[in-house]
Amino acid sequence: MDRREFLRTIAAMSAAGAASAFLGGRGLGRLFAEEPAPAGGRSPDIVAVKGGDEVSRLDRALQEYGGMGAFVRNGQTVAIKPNIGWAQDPRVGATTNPELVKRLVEHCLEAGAKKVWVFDHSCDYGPSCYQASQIEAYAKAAGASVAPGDSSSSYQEVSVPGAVTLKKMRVHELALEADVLINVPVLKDHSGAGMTCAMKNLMGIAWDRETFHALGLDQCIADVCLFRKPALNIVDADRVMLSGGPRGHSGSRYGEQRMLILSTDIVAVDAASAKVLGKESAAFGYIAKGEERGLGTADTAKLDIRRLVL
Amino acid sequence: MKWLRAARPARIARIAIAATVLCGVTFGILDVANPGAGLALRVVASWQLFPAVGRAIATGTLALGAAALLVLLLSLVFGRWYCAALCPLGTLQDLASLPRRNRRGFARPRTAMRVLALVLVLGAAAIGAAGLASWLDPWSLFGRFAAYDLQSVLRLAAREDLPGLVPSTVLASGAAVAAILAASFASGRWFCGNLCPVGSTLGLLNSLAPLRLRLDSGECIACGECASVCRASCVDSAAKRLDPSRCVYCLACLEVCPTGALYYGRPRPAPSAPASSRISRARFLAALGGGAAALMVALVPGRAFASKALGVRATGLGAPFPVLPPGARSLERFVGTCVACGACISVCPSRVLQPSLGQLGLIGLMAPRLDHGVSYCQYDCIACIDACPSGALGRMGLERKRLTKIGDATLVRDRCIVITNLTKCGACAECCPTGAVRMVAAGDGLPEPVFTSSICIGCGACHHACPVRPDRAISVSGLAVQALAEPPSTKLFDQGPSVPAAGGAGTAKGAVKDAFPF
Repeated sequence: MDRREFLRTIAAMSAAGAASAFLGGRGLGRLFAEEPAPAGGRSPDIVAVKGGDEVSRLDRALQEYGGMGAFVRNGQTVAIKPNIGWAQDPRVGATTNPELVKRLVEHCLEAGAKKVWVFDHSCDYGPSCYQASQIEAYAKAAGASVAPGDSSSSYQEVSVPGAVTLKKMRVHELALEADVLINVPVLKDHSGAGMTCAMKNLMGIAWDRETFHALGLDQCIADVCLFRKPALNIVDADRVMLSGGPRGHSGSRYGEQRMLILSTDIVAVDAASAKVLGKESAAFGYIAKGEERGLGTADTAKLDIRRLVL
Repeated sequence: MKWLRAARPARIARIAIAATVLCGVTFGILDVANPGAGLALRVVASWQLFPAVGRAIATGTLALGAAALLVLLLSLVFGRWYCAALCPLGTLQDLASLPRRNRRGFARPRTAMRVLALVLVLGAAAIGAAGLASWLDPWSLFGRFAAYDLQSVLRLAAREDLPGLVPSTVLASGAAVAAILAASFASGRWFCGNLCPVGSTLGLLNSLAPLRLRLDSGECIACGECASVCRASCVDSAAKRLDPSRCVYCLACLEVCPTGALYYGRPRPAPSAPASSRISRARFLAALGGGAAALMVALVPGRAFASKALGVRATGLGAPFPVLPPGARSLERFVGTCVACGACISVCPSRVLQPSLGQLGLIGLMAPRLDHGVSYCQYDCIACIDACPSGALGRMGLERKRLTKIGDATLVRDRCIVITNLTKCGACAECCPTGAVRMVAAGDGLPEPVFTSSICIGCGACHHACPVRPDRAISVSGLAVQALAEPPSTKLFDQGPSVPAAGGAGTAKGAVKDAFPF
């Protein structure tokens, strides 16, 4: 898609979004919330798989939804948002496991996706992060396109209806353009936010990272999640960094969890993941604020959780 | 017609080498994401005479200056081939002068201008202002042009950002090369014969070389063919002589000479001595000697003047000391060696390296410094050290670079929004690669940043990330002399949560729920 064509698409999408928001009295967030529902009966709120490896865990978990076709339809474009924040080796656990990203790309293409993109707005120098995390190489090997996230020209200003602090922000064109957005965070300790998982990972679709910090992380993280609800959140909790996050240090401690947690509910998946870190969701302000804005359910006791051991 | 058959392949070979060098260095500076680019840049840059001399001075040994010594020795024996093949600015001038390539003629040498330029450059280098001297050095001029002008155009075309780049850098670098190319369009290698210090030095050696391009006045019929194609304006066909101090070995004359009077080699027997040429050479040598003597006399007050009047005046008024790239060691050593060619800046991935415009004093104009407003030094990167052709950035491996302390952070708690506004931030600790800034919970309150200077390497990640304005809560200043930081302790993050061990694979089926904490 050339630049002009792309801009036209964006303009059309924004107009359509604004019109439907106006007519229906509903925000963009709600509009996007109507992603295709899982096929064949009701799926559980959370699917959690333990044991096996990254590939077998993902394969098994997706069976619970009847396959990737529940989220990706024939001819759709998919944007995958892993955590590629740091120029660190995959073994550090600061970035999403590249094998998981590769397998996910394969599932999307098998489901008939026309195009699969992988991107993140990295903290360290972008190309170094893409390379050191090995996500670029693995994603490309599976047939995805890897898009840079470090150029301001890739970001468009949007307004976020329902947002409390960040009513306007600049988001990556892929988060606007793709038919399906899949959020693939790595679960780990985070010096600023306490924990980084699905909600915090979505901060990487935005350009104005500094503003998030200046105005307070908790509300801004909840606000960015209001912009677009991912069709699916897939939490990589294989080797979980328990301290020294998010970047990872020689003194970081780890918990070998061998776990994958999936949910269409970004609040629920974070609440469950908090427990994997040994904490309660109440410890993280953004989970409560997300629940307040109707993004999901934080009380894991109320959730239908499918637990699987390989 | 034996000479004609020999001249043509030689000329083609010299054009091929010149084109390879120009393309190699341009590729190296422009396609920085390509792993081969750094190598191409280094291979070409390591032979550039002016940075090589700097390297010899920087290391105080001939080991790293071997390239410079070799170029000088080879030129003294075989003539000034360097300017025809190895100088990218020379080849660029050849390209600019192509439209008027057959409409040239002899021009008188401007000895006074050449000597003055050479003495000024040597003088500036001698008093420790290599950056100033570099405004007449062809490699530095070309490097800045490629780094700030060509690369900027390419990045803009690719819709990439140009963080930190200021127009005056682009204009100054572009204008200098544009002026040289305009002169080249008008009269060939005018810069090389009249201003270039490398050209003047090699021209002098060429005049003394036993093997060099010569004109046999006995064979010459004064037809003027050679003068019409000579880009150095150095063949006076009417007087039947060639000025060896300005010839740039383009070999165009060899090909057009109908009698073979122009040739490469030793003097032919019974030459009719070109008396005027000898006088010119003698004058040139005498002027040079005088200049060198004056230089020695001026050296001592010159150095004092340079560091006082042209150097950094940051130590007054509490201004932060500039942060220099790893391997610079000390400001004085750095500005005395750096030729400000922009090679390090063009390969810096995060663009934290920016040409200084006064921050390093007039003496270090356009030399690199770190601008943490733009970005920060990447922990696992030594691209600048690898690219430096002059030795201004001392060679080191990644392990040592990770411990090289180029600056030190200062945390001002009164400005930190976690402490003053109870805003959840932690941006500084998030990106600190060594753990020198950590978030530590004080009682029930929000975790606050805690700073440990001994393991801080001054990369500026915290400075760049801090959202507080106008003055940041954490900022990095440079050090007068770079040091080694302590390696971070592996116990830095021991106060984290302890996680109950959960059952893994092999858990009994009935206990599936026990395998999960939710």
